[in-house]
Amino acid sequence: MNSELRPEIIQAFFKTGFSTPVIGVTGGKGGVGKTTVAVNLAAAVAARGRKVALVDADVDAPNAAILLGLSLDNPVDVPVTQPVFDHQKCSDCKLCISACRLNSLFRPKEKTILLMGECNGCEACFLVCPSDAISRGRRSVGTTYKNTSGKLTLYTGELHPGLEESALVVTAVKKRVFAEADQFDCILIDTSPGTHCNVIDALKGATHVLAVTEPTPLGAHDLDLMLSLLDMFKVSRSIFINRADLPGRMNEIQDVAATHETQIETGLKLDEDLLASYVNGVPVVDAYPDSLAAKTFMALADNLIMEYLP
Amino acid sequence: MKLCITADGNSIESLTDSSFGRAPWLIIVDTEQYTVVEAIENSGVNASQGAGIAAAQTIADKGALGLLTGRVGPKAQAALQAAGVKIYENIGRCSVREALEQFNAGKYQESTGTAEYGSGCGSGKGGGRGSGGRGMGRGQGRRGGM
Repeated sequence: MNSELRPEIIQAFFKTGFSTPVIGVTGGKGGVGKTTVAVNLAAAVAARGRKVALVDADVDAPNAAILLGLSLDNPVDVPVTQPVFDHQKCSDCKLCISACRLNSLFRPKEKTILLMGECNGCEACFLVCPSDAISRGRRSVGTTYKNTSGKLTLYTGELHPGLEESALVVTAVKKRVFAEADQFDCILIDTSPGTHCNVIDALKGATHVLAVTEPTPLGAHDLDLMLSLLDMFKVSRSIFINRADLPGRMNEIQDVAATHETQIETGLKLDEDLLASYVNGVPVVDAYPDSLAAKTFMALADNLIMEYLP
Repeated sequence: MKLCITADGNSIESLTDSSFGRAPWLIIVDTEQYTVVEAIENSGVNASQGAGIAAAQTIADKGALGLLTGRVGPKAQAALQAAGVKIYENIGRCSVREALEQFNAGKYQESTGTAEYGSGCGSGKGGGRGSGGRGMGRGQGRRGGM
């Protein structure tokens, strides 16, 4: 793997227009506990009296609202540009047809262009049209939501079912919270699983990233992928181990951590109170503040506050 | 009239191909003269999306009035209808020449947009193979992601 990114790409990755710290919660593997960690960390930071924004950037399957017992309110549409053709102005050059990478434009007869396939709003047809014959229409690809409960504000991005434009919804929900960043002491971002573009987009602007994993072969494998990605972007990061007392494979996690020179935070052990809070849709920090799990999250929040929140 | 027949190769003796957007060759034949007007290498074979629409554009630009192939997808069908190109499906597996002979003998009916049964060309009696039995997808499909 070519791990050298150009400096301007790395610079663009970190660029934000505000000073509020942004903490990414990710990890590679699905089902490893990213959302559980993100939700409880947000609740813990809020319990310390800090205003926290939690962003659910897993737009294909957002579920932080469910774990927080919150509804999805204040919907804002996520639009994408669609070309609208003015046949009077069309010079019949066909440049738009060859510019469309999705082969979605069709010219059944002279000076007539029809949009017949998928359109992802790339706007290439607008750029090549010499006759100003294409104007901008809109199509909805998703929704962002915002809901506040006490010191915690949840931002959720949700892609419309059946569509492919998840990247646009990730960008939209990030844009919404970043525009209001000054209102918060801290922004937490919960990503989708994997190490793909939507995860990278979700992590853009991160001051620090928590890579959540578990002591299993798959957990170690996907942690390695995630840390390789974070190495490329030179992101500050630490490892949070869920189900830390599962027998067996902790040495593999430690090997991966050492390879990527990454510190391991205190792990979260299997905990019946955590399970009970999960079943009830209330963060364990709020439901069982005296539990081991709640104390683990409070300690993590305190570390975070000490390190990044003035 | 100009008829497009989808094929594996570029001559009138080449075998037919049942896909449209991802057929390797689009053969334009003159149905009266029994000649190949033009054999077009299908540039949409490896397109990530919209291969059917692109192929419809190609044959519409060449002045084809009909398309004889195995199966036409919904987007390509809409495009062909917009351009006034008649669609004949369930071509079967045979040579382009045999398919043309069967076409001139009236063995293919114009598709009306709903799935229908057809006998197709090919060896033997050829009856009752059902729609699209050979059909869908040569598996050449999408660019492999990353």
